[in-house]
Amino acid sequence: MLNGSLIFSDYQDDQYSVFTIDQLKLVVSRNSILSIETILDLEPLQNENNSGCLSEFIINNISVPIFGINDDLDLLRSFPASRRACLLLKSDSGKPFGIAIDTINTLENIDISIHELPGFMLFDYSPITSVLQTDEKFYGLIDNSSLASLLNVDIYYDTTKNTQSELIASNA
Amino acid sequence: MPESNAWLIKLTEKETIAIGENELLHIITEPDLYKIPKVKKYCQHVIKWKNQVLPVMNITGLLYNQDIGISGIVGIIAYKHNESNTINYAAIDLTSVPKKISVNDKDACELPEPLHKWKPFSAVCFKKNNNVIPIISLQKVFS
Repeated sequence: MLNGSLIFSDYQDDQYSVFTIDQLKLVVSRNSILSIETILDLEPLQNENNSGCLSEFIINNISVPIFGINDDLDLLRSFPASRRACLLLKSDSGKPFGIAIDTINTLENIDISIHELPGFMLFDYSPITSVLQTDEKFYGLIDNSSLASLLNVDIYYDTTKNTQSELIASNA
Repeated sequence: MPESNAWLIKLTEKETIAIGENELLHIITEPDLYKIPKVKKYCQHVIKWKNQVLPVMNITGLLYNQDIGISGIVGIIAYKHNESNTINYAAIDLTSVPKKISVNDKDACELPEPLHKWKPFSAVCFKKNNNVIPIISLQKVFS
């Protein structure tokens, strides 16, 4: 439950970045970011696949799928004009993936608290299971692995030739 | 016969419920809500209240498992948690300001068949002005 579900307060060891997708403002732990790229550096898709990804980014010799999503976290068929950056994220499965975003900034030197959402709000696949609170605002805290599952990242990797060792190196 | 107070909450033109007098703590008009994507359609928002983050439940949406949307009024409620027996706080979406009423024990009745849809959230109801009003268990709504 939210009442008594405070995970931590004023916790400074981990740092967070705020990113926007249309009207949605989310946060992600900086430890779980692989890199942030300009959308201009994305590669066109080399091979057709059923994953729903729109583009790829080559990093450490592996192709990382890049997805376009809206502020309901639904897949898009093209990148809206407002998407200017690409957030490459690590995942527990060792298969990095990216999402196109509008803006990204760091949360610096402010007091935060993180609150777990109650179970009755969530599905098994819900990628936001906590809310980060600052003095004035809320941000959904993204769980990378749940988001990867929601976006079917595995389907992309099942149809590409990235090797396991390359994936482990890229996700480190 | 003993009387007690309750809040009458009109959810829609057809749906009116009641909750205990002490369960509704605060009413907020034009609340500042944050929407969470990819969660249950009847509970998609959270609100900040007294430095807590509370889920906002749309009870009509819960009843019909639908996305009803959100109105401009939210009620902060308190209920006793089933397992821990602690007081929990949450919010419910209100379409209008609730009305405080007095309920006499002699008006208590069983849930009639047309209101059986409320059974998961209500065991009892009462008669008021020729209407039958289910009394909602907030424990069951937020479980």
